[in-house]
Amino acid sequence: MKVRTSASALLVLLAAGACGSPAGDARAPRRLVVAAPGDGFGLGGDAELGLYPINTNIYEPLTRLSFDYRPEPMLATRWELLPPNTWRFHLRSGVRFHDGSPLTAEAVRWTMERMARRGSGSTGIAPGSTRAVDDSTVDITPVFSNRRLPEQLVHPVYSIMARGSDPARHPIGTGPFRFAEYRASSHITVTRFDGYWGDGSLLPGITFRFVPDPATRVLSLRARDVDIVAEFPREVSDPRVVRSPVSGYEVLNVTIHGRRPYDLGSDRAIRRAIAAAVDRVRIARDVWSGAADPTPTVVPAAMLGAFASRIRGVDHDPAAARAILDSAGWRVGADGIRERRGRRLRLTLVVGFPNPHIHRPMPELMQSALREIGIELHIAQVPDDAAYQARIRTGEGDLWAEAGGQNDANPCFLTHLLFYSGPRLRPSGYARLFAPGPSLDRFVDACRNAVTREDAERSAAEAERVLVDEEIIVIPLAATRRVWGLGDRVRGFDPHPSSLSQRWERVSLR
Amino acid sequence: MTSHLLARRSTVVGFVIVVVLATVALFASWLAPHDPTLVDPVRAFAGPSAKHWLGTDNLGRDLLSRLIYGARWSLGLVLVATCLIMSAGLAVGVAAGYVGGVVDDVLMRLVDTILSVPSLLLGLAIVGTLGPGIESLMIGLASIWWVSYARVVRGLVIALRERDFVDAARALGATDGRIVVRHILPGILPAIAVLASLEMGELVLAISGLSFLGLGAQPPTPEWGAMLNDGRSFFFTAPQLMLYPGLVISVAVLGFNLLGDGLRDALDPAEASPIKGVGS
Repeated sequence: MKVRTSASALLVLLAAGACGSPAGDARAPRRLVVAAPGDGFGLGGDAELGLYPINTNIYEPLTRLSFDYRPEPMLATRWELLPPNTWRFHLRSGVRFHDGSPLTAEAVRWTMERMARRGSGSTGIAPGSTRAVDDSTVDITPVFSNRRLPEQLVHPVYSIMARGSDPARHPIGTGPFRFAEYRASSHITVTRFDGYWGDGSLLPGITFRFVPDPATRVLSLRARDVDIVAEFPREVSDPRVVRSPVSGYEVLNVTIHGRRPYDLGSDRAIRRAIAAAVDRVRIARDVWSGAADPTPTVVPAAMLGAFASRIRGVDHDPAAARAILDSAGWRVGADGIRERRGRRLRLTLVVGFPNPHIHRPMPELMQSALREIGIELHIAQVPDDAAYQARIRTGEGDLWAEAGGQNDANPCFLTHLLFYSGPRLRPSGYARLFAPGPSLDRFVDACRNAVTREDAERSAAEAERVLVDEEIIVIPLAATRRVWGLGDRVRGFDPHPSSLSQRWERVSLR
Repeated sequence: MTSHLLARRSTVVGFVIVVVLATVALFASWLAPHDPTLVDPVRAFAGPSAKHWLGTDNLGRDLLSRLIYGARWSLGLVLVATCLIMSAGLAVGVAAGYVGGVVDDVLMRLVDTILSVPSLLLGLAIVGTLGPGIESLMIGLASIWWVSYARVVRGLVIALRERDFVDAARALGATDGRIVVRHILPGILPAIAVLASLEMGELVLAISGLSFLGLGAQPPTPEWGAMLNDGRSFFFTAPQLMLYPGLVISVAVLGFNLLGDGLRDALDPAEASPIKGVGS
């Protein structure tokens, strides 16, 4: 009797469980859970929760990046140049912020002023550059001639915020999701904004969980703890991955500042030898199969149009690399590493941007390739972007592994942001290490002032040619794709070339 | 003592394991079929074959060769760490135990202070501050590990310094240095050797653990913990990348523990050694 009672109770419990949870799940749509590489929002007053480096779609910019790297209407429906250097943007009507206030030119002015005070990158937007013409029209006049402004404003960091809002604590934007909760180093959660001006979200909300370790992200997907994994390890093959179109780059930058002990990269012969030791095809084909393409360009070739072919890159030729070093006086020592006048040919490769994991296993491949030509490579892995930037400031490194992305529609964004040393922009930490000077700056200036897209692409390609072919300061390794891991219940996820411009409102769970 | 050691089968097993691993480490360059750092992505994740007995890793490197050279790195690091730890522990322990008084008080409070901090956290903090690398790893481990040796040594020295043969040496005019070197150290070294053998298994784990966390050996060093770390991403697709180094770490720890247990029993104070009940 006792046994029968227990069995009945067990059956009731099982039945309740069987009926309860799945049916309950079906009636109440579940939040999407995304495993993101880490919490990059920071804690200070400069934090922009939900915007960068993870775009949770709280905010929207004036223009947005299309899948083919062109600016498209977003909060601005159209724009035009008012010579000599003012851009007029006409705002979309009927757009409201999450607090119910309408999108106005004044909100755009407030956002741009805030951004200008913090540093506006290479846009030339300074305090006083933005003026509200009327409620739905805004003029932006950069401090220098900039024909690329609408292409630059697609970047989410230029998204429009509600006037007077505090993006570090309670972000208020116009996007399809509104801020719900943020816990440092744990997660950020957003919920559907029912007053959205466009097609609203199919999801009730999204939780972006910060999981810095890539292996843990993979395991979370397999265990169904998360629905989507961002930055799925490129070297791991898995049927659940989807890849974006080519969107990023993996490069090695070579220090040319000339200060010991990191002065070896100042020797062009060494730079050429390093480039000749790199087997781009092998890296893309055999190591990051499917997630990367071999390319001699830095930014995606599509950004440079027909002019991409002007960049040839240094061909893989270890014999030529050895000959270059031989003729430069570097003799092979007993252990296979070269020396000259008592100095060992030893370089330091700094790995950490945007995180050390994304580069795997390229550093070891480079170590092996360089050892073949007699160069000892020490791998200095730093834990995160902040540590990497700190090291950039000190210049302590010979080679710098960078996995970046084309996050705007400006073909010369990278050369301008990182390698330009002209008077129009405060030199970045990068410029102090890598800028070749006027040979590159003139092409960046020409690109920024180019009236037609074709002219801009031509100048951008020439600037890259200087970096890659003439000066060999940048050694492209691969054109990369964003790799996402998807759970089997995810529908409607279309990976954008730029993960920063990823849209989430069309995603649903089966 | 030898007959006592060989009487226990587990001790023999431990001894054999340690000897085999030491032999592999010593003769790695002869035993390994390939260069353990030779990269060949075309052969990545190759299964076992006549050319690669255990297959290859994600960079096409021969797994067996990496395991063989890993013995050299892992056991070599254990040896170096043990020497550093023993040197520091002996110096502090002898000074505290032999000199006594204020010196003893100061040194033992230092030991107590270090022991009051969780050793793993302290080790991680030291290695993290110094930056990843083998040198940092050795400094970090020696910094936290010497204290237990120092306490044991101090106790042993206190027990010996009052013995008649020490008094006799002192009466004959021997200096303190001579007494320590000629009379004290020979008396405590067997016990310290037992302690070292017992701790070696833990050191293998500590070194592998810190390398697994990326704080120890750096690429392309074929250290077992670092190999475990490298294989994590491929746990589901190529579990052998974690399985093999995990197995050899387990076997090495088992070997050191069995041998250490046997040595401890053989040197039991009831028969020979003063280690039991002193200082710990």
